[in-house]
Amino acid sequence: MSDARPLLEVRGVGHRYGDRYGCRDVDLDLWPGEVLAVVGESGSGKTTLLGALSQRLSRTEGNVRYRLADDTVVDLAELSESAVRSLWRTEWGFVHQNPADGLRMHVSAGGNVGEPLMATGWRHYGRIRAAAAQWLERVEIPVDRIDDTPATFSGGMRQRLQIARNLVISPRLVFMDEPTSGLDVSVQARLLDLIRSLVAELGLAIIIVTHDLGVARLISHRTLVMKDGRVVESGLTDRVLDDPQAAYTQLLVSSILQG
Amino acid sequence: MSTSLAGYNIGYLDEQTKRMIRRALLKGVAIPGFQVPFASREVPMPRGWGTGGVQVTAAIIGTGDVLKVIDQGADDTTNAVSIRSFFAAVAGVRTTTHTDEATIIQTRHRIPETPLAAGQTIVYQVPGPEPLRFLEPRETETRRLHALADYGLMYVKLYEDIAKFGHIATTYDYPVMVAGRYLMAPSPIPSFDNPKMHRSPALQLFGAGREKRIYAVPPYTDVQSLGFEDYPFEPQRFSQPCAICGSVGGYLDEVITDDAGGAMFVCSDTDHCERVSAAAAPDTDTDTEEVSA
Repeated sequence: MSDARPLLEVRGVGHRYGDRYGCRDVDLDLWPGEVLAVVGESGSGKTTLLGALSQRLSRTEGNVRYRLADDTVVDLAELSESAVRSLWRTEWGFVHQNPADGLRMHVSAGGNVGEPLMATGWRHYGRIRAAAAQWLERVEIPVDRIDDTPATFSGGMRQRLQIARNLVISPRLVFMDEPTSGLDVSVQARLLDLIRSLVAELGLAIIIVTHDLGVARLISHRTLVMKDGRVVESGLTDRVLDDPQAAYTQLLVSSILQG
Repeated sequence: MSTSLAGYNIGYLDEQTKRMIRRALLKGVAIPGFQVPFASREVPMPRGWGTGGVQVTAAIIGTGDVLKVIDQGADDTTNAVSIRSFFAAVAGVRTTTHTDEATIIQTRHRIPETPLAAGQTIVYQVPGPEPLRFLEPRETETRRLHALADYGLMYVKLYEDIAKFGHIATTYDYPVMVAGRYLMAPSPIPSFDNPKMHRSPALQLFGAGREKRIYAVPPYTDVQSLGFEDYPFEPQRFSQPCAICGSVGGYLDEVITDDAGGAMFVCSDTDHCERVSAAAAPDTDTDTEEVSA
């Protein structure tokens, strides 16, 4: 696999809500197999940035270039709606903060995991079910719950199911919006462990938005710190957290409660 | 038969309305299975009782037409009788209960057992035209899914059926793919009737009055019922013959005969049942009259 070019090249991206900027002038490169954390306080534009990069928001400025599986580089803003949808079906995943946004709560767990497969043309029930069962096992959901709906699942199970649903198509890039907030610490730790091992195993690239520096420290290679819609600092995670340069990052790092 | 009522335009609707509906119909025929929005009018019956079908029929009917109306396969149910007499009054057309004599057949829930012929038009009354509705409540989103032919969602429904019941348990309004492009709700006909839509020589028109949608399947168009490779589409089958006419291979209704669990299975298509009974016993004509009541 030639990794001569980044998976995602972002230059000068901004998104405006009316005449107010949600985020602006963001530059970043994301390489295959890399986990990039976007941290910052709430209202700093993290989720807006994620929305703009993943084409869920119509971008108002800048450009995002994405390298497809066949190595052609496309400008995402120029892709048709059906091409973007096809990217979602075959190469991208999105893990929402609230699993209910990313799952069909009244469709069984197997149906939830199987849906992306059916959307990409799988038409063999036995094989769809086998793939779903295998993924439930991988995300540590008991396989005998395959016919239960996520409405009957705990918060942690729902989040793991959402991850399975996103990874079943073997995506190349997954966007995650605060996937661990709202879970208790032990469940959070297991989920992060799971994400980390899946990343290593599958070579995914992930952009993960979080306000929790611990999460960034644990799973990300690089970190981007945002404040008031702008990137104030970026670099290797350990460097950013151990030796913060920007005043805001120093404030952020020092405001972690020390146990 | 009789001439139309004084003060009414032939076919009840005014000519501009008919023109609007015909435009929608032409568009529907040109794009098989695509739901065309139309400005549904008030007709003298409540929405949900077949107002879409009535408007389509009114837009295409001419004084030379012969109309048959069935409701659940029967010519003698309230809705069928009143729609028939409505068009006899407002359009002055001849009505019939014989499938092969009719030029227009308006139907709710069935396709007649007698195979339709070229030149016939079947008009379906449709309560819910959107096959994806119960999986995706947003109209903006379902339209987008149709536009992009993104139909994975429909298979989720079938998957859920198999996971729950061990087979595809959808037995009516079974989703079909029209001409390899548009997913279509065939109206609540039993899945038993789905194969009759495939390459039918008759023109098939669908009207949903409350939902304001018209769609169509032109003659000789492919209509495939969805299924999985290992769980293909299976139309319903009946093991016993009709208790009245003795014919096999038709769609049967269960008729409760007493309050002690007694029931009989009879043809839901009354025309077909009478025809088979008459052929079996040509001299007992009065009995078949009794039977259809």
